[in-house]
Amino acid sequence: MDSREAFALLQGASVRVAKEGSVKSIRRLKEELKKVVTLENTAEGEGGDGWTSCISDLKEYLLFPVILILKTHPNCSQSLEEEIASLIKAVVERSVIEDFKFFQEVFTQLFLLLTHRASPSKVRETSEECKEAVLGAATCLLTGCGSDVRRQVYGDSFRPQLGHAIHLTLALATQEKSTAIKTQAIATLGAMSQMTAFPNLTHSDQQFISTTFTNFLPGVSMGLTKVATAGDTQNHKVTAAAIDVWCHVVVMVMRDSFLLDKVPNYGESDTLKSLRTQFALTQLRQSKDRKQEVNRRKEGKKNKFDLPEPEEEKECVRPVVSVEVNGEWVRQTAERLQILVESLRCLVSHSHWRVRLSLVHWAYHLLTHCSRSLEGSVIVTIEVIAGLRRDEIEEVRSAAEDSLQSIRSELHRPGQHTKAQPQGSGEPRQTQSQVSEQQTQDRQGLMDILEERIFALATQLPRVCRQQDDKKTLSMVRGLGGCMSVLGERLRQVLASHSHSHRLLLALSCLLTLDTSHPNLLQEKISDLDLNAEVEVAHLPGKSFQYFRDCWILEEVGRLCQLVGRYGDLVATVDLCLHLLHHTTHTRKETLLLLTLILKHGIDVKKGVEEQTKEEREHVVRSTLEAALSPEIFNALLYINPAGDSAATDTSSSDSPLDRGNQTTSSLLAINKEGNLSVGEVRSNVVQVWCALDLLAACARGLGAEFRSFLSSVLCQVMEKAGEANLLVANAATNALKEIAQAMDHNSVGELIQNSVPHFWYPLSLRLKRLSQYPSAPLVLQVCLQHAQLDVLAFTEELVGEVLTSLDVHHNSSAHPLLRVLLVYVRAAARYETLLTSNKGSVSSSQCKIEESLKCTPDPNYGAVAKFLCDYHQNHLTLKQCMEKISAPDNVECESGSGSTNFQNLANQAQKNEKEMSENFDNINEDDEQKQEIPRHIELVVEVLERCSHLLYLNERRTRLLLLDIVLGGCEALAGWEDQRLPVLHKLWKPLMLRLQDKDNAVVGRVVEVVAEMVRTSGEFLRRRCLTQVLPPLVSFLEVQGIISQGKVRSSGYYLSPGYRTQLQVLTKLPNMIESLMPGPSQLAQLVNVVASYCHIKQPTQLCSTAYAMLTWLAHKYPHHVWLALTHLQPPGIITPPSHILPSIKVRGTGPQELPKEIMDLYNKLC
Amino acid sequence: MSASPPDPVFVLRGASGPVTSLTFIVPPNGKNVQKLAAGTQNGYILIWDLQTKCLLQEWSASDGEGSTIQWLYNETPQQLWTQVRYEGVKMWDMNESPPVVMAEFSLDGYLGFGQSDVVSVNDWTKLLGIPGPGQEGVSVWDVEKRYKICSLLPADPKSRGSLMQTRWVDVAGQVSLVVVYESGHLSLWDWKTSTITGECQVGENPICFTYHNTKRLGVVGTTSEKVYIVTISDDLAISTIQEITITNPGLSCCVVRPDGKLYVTAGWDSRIRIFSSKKHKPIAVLQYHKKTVECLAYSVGDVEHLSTGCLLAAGSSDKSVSLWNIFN
Repeated sequence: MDSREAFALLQGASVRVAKEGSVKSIRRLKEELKKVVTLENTAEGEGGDGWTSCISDLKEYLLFPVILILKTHPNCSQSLEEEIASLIKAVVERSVIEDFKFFQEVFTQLFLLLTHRASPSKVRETSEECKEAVLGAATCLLTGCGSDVRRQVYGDSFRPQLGHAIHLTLALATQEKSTAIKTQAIATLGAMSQMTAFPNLTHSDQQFISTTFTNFLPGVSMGLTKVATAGDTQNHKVTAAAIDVWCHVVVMVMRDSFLLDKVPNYGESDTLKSLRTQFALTQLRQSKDRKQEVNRRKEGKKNKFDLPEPEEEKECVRPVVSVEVNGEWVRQTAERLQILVESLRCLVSHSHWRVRLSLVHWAYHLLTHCSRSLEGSVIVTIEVIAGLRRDEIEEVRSAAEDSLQSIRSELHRPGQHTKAQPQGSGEPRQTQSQVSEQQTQDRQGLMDILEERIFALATQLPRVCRQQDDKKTLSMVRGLGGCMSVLGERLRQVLASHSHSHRLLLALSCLLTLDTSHPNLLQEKISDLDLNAEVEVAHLPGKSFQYFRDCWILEEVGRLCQLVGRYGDLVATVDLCLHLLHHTTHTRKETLLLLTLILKHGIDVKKGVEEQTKEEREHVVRSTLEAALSPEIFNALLYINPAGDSAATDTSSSDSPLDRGNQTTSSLLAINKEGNLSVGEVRSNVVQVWCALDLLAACARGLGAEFRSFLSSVLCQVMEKAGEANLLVANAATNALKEIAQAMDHNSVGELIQNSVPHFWYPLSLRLKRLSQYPSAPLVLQVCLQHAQLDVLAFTEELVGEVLTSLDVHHNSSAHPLLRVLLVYVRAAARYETLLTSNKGSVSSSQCKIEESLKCTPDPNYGAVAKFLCDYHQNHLTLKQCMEKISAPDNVECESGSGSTNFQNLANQAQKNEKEMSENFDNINEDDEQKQEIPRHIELVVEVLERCSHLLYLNERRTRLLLLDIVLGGCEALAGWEDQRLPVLHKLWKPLMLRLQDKDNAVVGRVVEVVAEMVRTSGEFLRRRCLTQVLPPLVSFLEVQGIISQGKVRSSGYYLSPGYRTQLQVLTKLPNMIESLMPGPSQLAQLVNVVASYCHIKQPTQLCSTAYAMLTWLAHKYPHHVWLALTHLQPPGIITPPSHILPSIKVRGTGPQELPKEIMDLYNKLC
Repeated sequence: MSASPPDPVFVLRGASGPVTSLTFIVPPNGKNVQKLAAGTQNGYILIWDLQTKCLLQEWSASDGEGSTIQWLYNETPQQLWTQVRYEGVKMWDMNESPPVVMAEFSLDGYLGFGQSDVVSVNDWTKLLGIPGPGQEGVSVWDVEKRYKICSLLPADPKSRGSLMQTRWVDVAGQVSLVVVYESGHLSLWDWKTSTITGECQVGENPICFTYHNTKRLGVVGTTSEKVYIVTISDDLAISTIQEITITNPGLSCCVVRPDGKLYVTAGWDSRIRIFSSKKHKPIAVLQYHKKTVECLAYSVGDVEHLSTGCLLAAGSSDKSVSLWNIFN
């Protein structure tokens, strides 16, 4: 739009303003102005250039009346002032100010509005709207001024006014409550320092403005810091804006490129400076004065700041005091700014992400522009960036990451590239090369600072972490991580220094001090013999640390270690760690953990860390493994009571020093120091072994298939730990095995063990031979049998043979662990046998074919299904029999009515059936056996059982129970081998019977179980002995105990007594036995009576319910006996038969007894 | 012998039959020994990687039912010599997998346990001494030319009994063949002239024989408790210098350590005995195997992770191979 057209439009309103000078008229003019602007905008849309506005031409005309009003009416109303300010803003917004006078006029009037008339240094009390409008107008005015005006604005003559304006604005920013005013004031400050335009200015302009602002720096920076750190309650926009402007102002003044021009020999190190002076002195002596004069003149020409420029000379006439920028000033300012930087740094934890983002930029700019002037702040800025790298907001994270990346690439860029860096225009060539040279030095300096900082942080870390302030520790670790990641490749040199890496590792291991106070650390497997039970690991404690809880810290330490592993000299670092491991016993666990973290990333074959050869890697792993598996670490005592598990030894074994291995200890003799470990020490040991196992796993994971060559030394030991009773260690070892399996490309631990038999069997056999030195060696075999499939069975035969041999030698001292292996073996053999028998139906009877098919079956569930079918078949048979027997008595009763003969018949029939069945079965077996040779494992089981028959006389309870378990497993394994089974059973019978009279009720209970199993497999053979030797004592036992237990309540403690428990056990196991024994009527009657006597309301509930269950079972098989027994429990009465022919019977019951309801139901059912 | 003898550093398993012969595979230049080959009674050859302890290769070297591998010999990584009882001597190309036969030499009716021996006379001539024809004779072959040079038959075969062992010896630069007969005769044959240049007799029935050229030390193991130490002088006279008595009778193999300071015997009593060459004193008795130790072998140099010097390997009838790092 043409300015004339606009003039025509605006003239009326403008004249009215001049005439009236009222709020209304100014508003009118503003509206008109708006119209013009909209018109112009639409016109611009059609073809305007978008830059020059017609308002710009009319600005003086438009503003003249209002300025006049301000001048003539110093006390006009606030609303008028506000309107005037907003009008000024509206006009200036659209104009370019080329005339300094105009600028000065407007500027002065604007700030006059804000100035307190009485004391000019204070802000006048006026409406908030007015202040905001004035500040807005000032902002627009400053952004809109042209380069000539700008030069004068920042010139010395205008400086007092500018200073005053800055002072007022700062006062507004700090003192006002309104967020809008604060924001506006900060924006105005930004405009005053030409924040947006600054990067586009010419070099000389930049330097000019910077020079001016050196005077304002203290005030601005302090004021803005005050605003920024006012607290979380203020609007985040204010804080963010304050940070941005602070950053701009400080960078503008303190940027190295500016100071380089201002300060001679800026940024040189002290040594260089002193060298220079020395050099200059010698030169002074050598050269003639004249020559020196010439030199000085020449230099003077080069450096314009040595001699005053003509312009400056002019300015110097004026009495404006300007700060002299020299080395001293820079140093002092930097020191003060350092304090402000520190206080701003606290905003890292500000709740709003926008503030944190500003802080990232703040740190980045400070670091990139002022690395030399603000040397002390470099670390702070790096730490801020590094800390915010893990921010929860994506924007902040990426900004920080980008900044760090660019800093790192800047640092590691080779020197020549810096020359190509874009410099400010008009820069003399000489200065350019000088700058690049300086930059190289700069980088060097920064590196040095970083190195020192790493050293300092590593020194402080132990002290800080002991304060247990997670936040503090985290920021410190992050800072350390930041410094290290910025150093990057250079880290190698840093870590090459022994003292550096030593300190760092020590600090980290101190930070990682593990908490070993968790009581669950000592948890042991409840039934270590139940191999099928999955280890319950959910409630196991994780690794917890003494000095921190925050998981971020651990993660950060992990990253730190990753850096160490990646950039550091792995061999040297690991050697140092191992050195620490050997020399400081109290930080062993931590060092192991540290090593794990370092190696996790240090030796990753897949990632292919360059410069790392296979030999180097192997060397590292080899020495690590050696250290981790060293006896003092790996075989540390894991049990408070060494006799507790797996380390059970007799005192006799500690006679020779050799025999006193790490775990062969006797708790009874105080001479053995190791036996007297405190709980704390043992817990610490558990954690230590756990860490060592994790380290092994990390090595395996790192090396992958290359780990194979270490298997022979590692596998055996890890398997041993997997068999430990301590849940935590066992679990860690199993995990390690899984890792190794994965590294070796095996699907499961079982597969690993199967394929690695050559690796571990020799160390194992050696250990089994020297059991006194390696008391827990049998655990290896146990784990092996536990995990591996049946193929290993054949391979372990020899080893089991060895176990038997050592059992012969050590049947007193270390029988327990050996027996456990035997138990595992017989169970494995039993499993194998069940698999074989279940396959017999489908596969041809040739043994070798079965074996082949076994190997071929890929589906591991096969066994389970087969077993299920087998069970189902058996259940089906029993059910059928039961059904027959339940239905049979009715018929028989109708026919004859004589109970006893019926029983006899039934028994005979059942016997016949059984006989036929067993004959058939035997025939089958005979057929098979004729073709088969006795396999080695069956021979071994027989041998084992024979040993058991001797050892059952041993007096120790645990051993006895274990032996009984072995016998049980053996019987199962021999189920299909009658010829082998029966002689052994015969041998076992006598000791078993002796154990039946054991005082220990637990043993008695187990014996009952064993006998029940024996009877199941070879009922015919043992039936008579059982009926004469087993049943009567049990029945009489129940009879006696039943009376005792009557009327006992829980609070009496009777429920905890062995007598109670044995009753329960016997009642539970009896049905199994009765089923195959088929006792005679009198014995049965006795038994039923005894059981029925338990069905009393006074009996303990559990006994009663067990007895009821047994009675129900008996009622299915022998309903009459049960009925009779129950009748006797009823009150005396007369039973009338349905037929009149029969006489009624008088039952002399035991009197009115209170019977539980279930019993009555059962009785009624039977009636 | 106050300290108890050490255990093997490792035991290799996986053989399907008694291990009857052993040899370390010579590594490519500048490397440590890493492989061990073993032959079994049922004709299989197994090669283990000593670093990972894994079985690398297994194949049957026997043509027929599977006869004993009596002798294994290796001097380059690419070649392996085997002698199968009743069948003959074969040279295998190890570059193939499974290895293929490069050359075959007949035993010519020899049925005993005697082992063959190979020696390089000079750069282009390699000689094979192989038992046969018959029970008493020895044939000498030029390996490169596949040419039978001569058959060495004693003048009075009856009195010598059957051939027990053959062994090339180098005395003062002259290569001769020592042939050990059942009668106890040790005859030093000049293969060029087919004449006996020296002879001595030991009192017992010899089973095994080994000779160290630089130390001029020969060991003869017999069926009895006696072990004879022999030496060969510059003028090719062979003589017994010492007679050692061991506890249990019967030796199946004897070797001298490559540096000649020790020699080792493998006994029917499943023990390995080590003697010093200087005074012929027994210095260690190693017991690990459960059955007869059938064969012994020494590695030429270090074996990584197992020994810093020569590693001793012993194969036994219990189907295992034990590795010993002793007196290194």
